[in-house]
Amino acid sequence: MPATLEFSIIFPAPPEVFYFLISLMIVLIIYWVVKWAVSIYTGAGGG
Amino acid sequence: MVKRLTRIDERRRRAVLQMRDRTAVVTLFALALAAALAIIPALAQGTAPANGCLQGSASDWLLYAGEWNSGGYGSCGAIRYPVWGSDARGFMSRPFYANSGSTITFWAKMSSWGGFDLKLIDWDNGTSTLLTWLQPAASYTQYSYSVAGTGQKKSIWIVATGGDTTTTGYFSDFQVSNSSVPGANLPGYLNGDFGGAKKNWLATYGNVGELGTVGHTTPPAREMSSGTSWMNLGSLPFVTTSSDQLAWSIWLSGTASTFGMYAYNLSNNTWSAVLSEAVSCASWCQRSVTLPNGFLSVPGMWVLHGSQGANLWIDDLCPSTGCLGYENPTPTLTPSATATGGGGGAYPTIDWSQFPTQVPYPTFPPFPTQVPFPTSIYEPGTPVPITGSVSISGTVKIDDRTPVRVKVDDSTPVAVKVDDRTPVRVMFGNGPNYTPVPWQNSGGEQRAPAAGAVLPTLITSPSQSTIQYGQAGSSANPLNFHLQQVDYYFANVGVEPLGLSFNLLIHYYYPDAFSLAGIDILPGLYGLAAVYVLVVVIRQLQAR
Repeated sequence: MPATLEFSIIFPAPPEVFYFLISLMIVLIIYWVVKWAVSIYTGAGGG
Repeated sequence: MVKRLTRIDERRRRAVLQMRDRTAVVTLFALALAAALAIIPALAQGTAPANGCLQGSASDWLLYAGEWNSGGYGSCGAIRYPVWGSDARGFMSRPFYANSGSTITFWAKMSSWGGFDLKLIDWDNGTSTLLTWLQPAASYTQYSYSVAGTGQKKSIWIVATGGDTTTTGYFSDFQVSNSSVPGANLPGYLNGDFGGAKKNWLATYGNVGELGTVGHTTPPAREMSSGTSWMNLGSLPFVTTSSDQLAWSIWLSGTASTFGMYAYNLSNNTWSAVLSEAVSCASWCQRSVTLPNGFLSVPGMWVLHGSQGANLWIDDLCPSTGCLGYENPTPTLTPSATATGGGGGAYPTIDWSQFPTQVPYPTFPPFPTQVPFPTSIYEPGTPVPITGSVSISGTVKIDDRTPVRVKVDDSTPVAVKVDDRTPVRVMFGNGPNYTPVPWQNSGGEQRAPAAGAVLPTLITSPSQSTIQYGQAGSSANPLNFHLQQVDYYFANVGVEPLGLSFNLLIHYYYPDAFSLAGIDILPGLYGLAAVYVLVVVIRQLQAR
C-alpha cells in the first residue's frame, strides 16, 4: 500500500471557484513560460 | 373447486368479449347514424335564396327596412327589423326558382308583440301572395312553409304589420329546399317596355300600377300614380355587364308632383337617387338617367316612386343597349361555316413549322464500370496459397485451418495451425498435437496488465462533510461559522515504472455560513477575496 500524502486547503470560496482560479493560474503560467522562451530566443532579455 | 372457478372465469371472459363486441357495434352504428344525420340536412339544404345565411352582410337582399345583424341563428347573420319607424315595404330576397315540394325554412325571433307578413313574390306575374302572418317566438325558432309553383321565379318578402317601439324581429338562415338560383336578368331583359305585361315588376307599395291602353310606342304603359294613391314599383334584380348598360332612358306621360327613380345596389345595400322631378308631360317625355359606376357587374334593382295627385304613366325604361324582352335569351349554337366553292379546292397547307420538333432522346449515361476487387490486406507481395510443403518468404496467407508447415526466417519448418480468432493467431508446434506458443508476432492480442499491477484510481465524486462552529440561527450564540469540507482522494498516482506511487488526499474547506452577532459577513469575505484575487492578477499582468 503506497503512502498517502494528505494536505488541506482553506479557501473562502466553493471548489468551483478554486478550479477556475487554478485554471487561470495555469493559463498565466503557460503565458509566462512562452514569453520567457520567446525572450530567450530573441535575446531580448527579461521574462 | 378450481375447475368451477376456471369455468366461471371463462364465462366472465366471454361475457366481457361479447360486451366489447357489442359496444364496438353500437359505437360504429352511432357514428354512422350521426354521419348520415349530418349529411341529410346538408343534402336537403337548398342553394336559394342567394345569401340566405346572411353571412357577413345582407348583400343580395333588398332592405327597405331593417339592417344586417351578426346575431343570427347558428353561424348565420340576420336581418334585424325594428318595426317602429321602419319602411312599410320590409325586405326581400333575390329571386329563386321554386319547384314541386319546395319549402321555405328560416329562423326568426321577435321581442315584444306584433307580427310580420310573410309574402311570396311571383315575378313572372308581378304579384305577391301572403303565405302567413308570422308572430315569431321570443327566441330563435324555425319556421317552414311550402312554396307552390314549379319553375317560377319567386322571392321572399317580409313586411312588418304591427308592433310598438320595442318590437324588433330577427330573421336568419333562409333556405328554400329543392330550388335553384336563376341567373340575373340582363338590363335589356327587364320587360321595360311592359310588353310582357306585369312580368318582372312588382308594386311594392300602393295597390295600383295597372297596365294602360296607352303607350310610348305601343301599349301598354305602366301606371305610376292614379291621382288618388301613390305607389312604388320595384324591378326584378338585374346585372349590368358593360358600362353602356349604366345609361338608361325612360318615357313619362302625365303629371305628378314627384316622380323618383332609385337604384338599389344589392351587393352593398345602398340606394342611389338618379331622378326626381315634378312631371308635367302632356304627351310623352324622355328622361335619361345614369346608374353610378358602382352598379357595374353587380346585382341592382330599380325602385320607382310616383306621388299621389295626378295620373302618371311610364314606358320604355331601357338601357342604352335597348329593351330586348323579359327573359334572358337562351344562347343558340352558331352554325359552323360550310365549305364554299365546291370545286374541290386544295387542302389547306399545314404550316409544319408550328409543330414542335422532336425532343432528342435522352442519352444513356455510361454503364458503371466494374469496381476493382479489393486488394489483399496482406502485404507486401501477393498471397500464395500453400499446397504441400513449400518454402516461402514474406507473408503467409492461410485459407483454412488445415495445418500447414511453414519455414519462417530460415528456421526449421514448423507446422502452423490457424484458429478462428480475428486477427488470426498463428501457433507453432509439431504434429497433430500442437503446443500453442504465444507468438509475439501475431500482434492481435491486447496486452493485459500484469497481475497485481497497481492502477491509479481517481475519485469520481468527492466526499463531503461539514464543520460547524457556533450555532446556526441561535441568538444566544453570537457566532455562526460553518465550514464545508470536501475531500478529494486520488489513489495510486505517481510514476509506476519508477516505483513512485502514492495516494493523495486533499481536504478542501470553504465557509458557506459566517455571521457574527447576526450580521452576515460571508458576502463581505467573498467580496474581499475576489478583490484580492483581482488585484493580484492585475498586478501580475502589470508587472509583466
